[in-house]
Amino acid sequence: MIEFTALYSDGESSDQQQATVMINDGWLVVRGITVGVSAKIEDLQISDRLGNTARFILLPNGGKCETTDNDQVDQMLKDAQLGQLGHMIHTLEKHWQYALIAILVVAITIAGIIRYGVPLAAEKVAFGLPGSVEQNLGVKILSMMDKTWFTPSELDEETRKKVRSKFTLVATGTNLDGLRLEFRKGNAVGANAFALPAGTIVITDELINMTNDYQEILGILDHEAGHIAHRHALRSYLQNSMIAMTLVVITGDISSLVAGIPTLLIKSKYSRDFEREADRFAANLLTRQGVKVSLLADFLTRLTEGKENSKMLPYISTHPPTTERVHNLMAEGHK
Amino acid sequence: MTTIDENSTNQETFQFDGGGAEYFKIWIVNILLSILTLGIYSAWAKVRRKRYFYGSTSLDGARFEYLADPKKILKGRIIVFFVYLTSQITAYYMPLLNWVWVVLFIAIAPWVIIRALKFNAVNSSYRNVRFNFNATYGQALKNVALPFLTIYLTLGLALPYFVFRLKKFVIEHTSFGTTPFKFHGSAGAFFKMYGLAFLGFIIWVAIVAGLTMPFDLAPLLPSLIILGTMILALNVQVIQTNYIFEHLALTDHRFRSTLGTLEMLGIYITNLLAMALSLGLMIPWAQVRLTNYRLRNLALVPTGSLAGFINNAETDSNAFGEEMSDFFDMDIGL
Repeated sequence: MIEFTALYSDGESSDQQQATVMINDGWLVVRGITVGVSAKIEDLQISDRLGNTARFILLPNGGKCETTDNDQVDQMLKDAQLGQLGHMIHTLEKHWQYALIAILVVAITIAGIIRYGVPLAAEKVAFGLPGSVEQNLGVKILSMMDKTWFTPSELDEETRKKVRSKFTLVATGTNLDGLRLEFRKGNAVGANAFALPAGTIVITDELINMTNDYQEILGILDHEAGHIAHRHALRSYLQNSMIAMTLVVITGDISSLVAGIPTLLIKSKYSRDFEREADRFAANLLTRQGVKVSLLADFLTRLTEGKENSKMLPYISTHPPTTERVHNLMAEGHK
Repeated sequence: MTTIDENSTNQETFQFDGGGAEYFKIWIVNILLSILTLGIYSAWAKVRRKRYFYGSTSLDGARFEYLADPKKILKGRIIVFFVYLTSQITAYYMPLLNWVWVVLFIAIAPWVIIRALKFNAVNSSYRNVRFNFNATYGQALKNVALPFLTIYLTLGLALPYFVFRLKKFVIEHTSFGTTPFKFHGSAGAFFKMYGLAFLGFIIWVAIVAGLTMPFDLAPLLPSLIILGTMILALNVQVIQTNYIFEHLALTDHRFRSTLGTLEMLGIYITNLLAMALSLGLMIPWAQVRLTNYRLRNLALVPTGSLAGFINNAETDSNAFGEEMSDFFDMDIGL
């Protein structure tokens, strides 16, 4: 015979009284000082078990029983063959073995999504989208950069001709659609080169002025062509959006401050992966063009000399450490 | 207006008996099932989470209940998702539409906030009496949107006034059953709170600048300023929350709030450390700990019994407002 105590409130007002609840032959009977009601068990709405929090039983008359005697309520449900799904979920939430398995599955799934799922999906989408999408993006990004940092290039025509001739080598050597070269003065971004969606490569005066040899510029252009060939800009945009959405879907209830840090780490890792892929592309192309890979490697070393101090954490850097890049370039070049 | 007797021992402190270990198992299964169902279970997960925290909270021996139907929440989420997707796609192909979406968003924001407050209120009950929230779009415009605009017109000086109007609006349109809450606070108190905080900010910047610049430690300056700002902001939140509860009334029942800035700072910092070092696994413990502290420092100072509040018959079946405000992080509450 199932019997337990509960607090009964009739739903008309906040009056609440102690009551005894008995289960008899498919009926739930509530008895208190001023209450005597009964209802069929199948007409009741019983809240699912949630740890050891109180259980609420809603009667058809609008009255509600609030009880902490979860085991008796579970027995009542079991006898009436109701609430099996709720019971299953509670079983998962009750035992530490399931929790530990859950931690494992969740951790592996999240790691898999971040490491493989998102990059793979972004790659498929990036190569599947119509060219107009990329062109649109490329135009928008360049105009944003022109508004924010860039001013017209101050290089003389002869330098530009020489750089363009190196660019022509890259264009013919890679056969990439839409490859275009743009000169700009970098100002706040300094010595830098960018590969925008749909094939525009932007190279800043400051970077050209840092080179000692036009072959070094060839190396830089090859690296940027690698970004274009692999559609890194678009993939980066897609991956970052997907990661943001995934974290929101999974964790739903964490404050944005906590979620921001892992996102930053993940974005930085994706960026470093793309840089490695572009370096590999550049090493292969340089070799095909009959140029020594060491030229690019030495230039990179010169470029980052004194700028990479021990204070910069490797985990939030957008590029792999220069020593790693040099090593990989040389290894790839010797293949 | 009845004032609270400082020495009154007649108070009912809120109780919280949720546990980190117990909640952790619920939390991790929530995440597992949400992933396995590609996010669909997340609506049920949200309801379970809120039911756990509500159900672990009791006042005068009776617990709170969260009554929302997960299916309605799922529907709301799907609609929000499609609205968001549509706005992104159409704005991509027709950039001018971006402005249309922005204007639309600003225009419906008051409505979204009202719907979210209503959904949450009507789905919360105590002793089988539901809470309620009743406000029209026009009232929201007058009491919230207009004061919000004054912030821009006064270059930020009217912020305390906006916060005062917002809290007053939310409180006085909320009711327990058919009995509305009352807010006896004043705008002046908010100006004092925020004014002192701003003063503190200026003093802090002056001190830190004076300590770092002469000694060539200037790179440390931004981090120190941010740190000080966060602590000052927390202090304002604590003072504000205490003030709001102390000036809240439900008929003749009053409240007492005893949050402390240093204690909360300690909890936040240790929570953050625990969460970071455990790669997120300690999040449930952190949430339980914070909730426990907040509720332990909240008490009802009753005048008479808690019976006699008449229930209201309203239920709310539309979760769009709630999910939209959730998605865009427009959390308005106490």
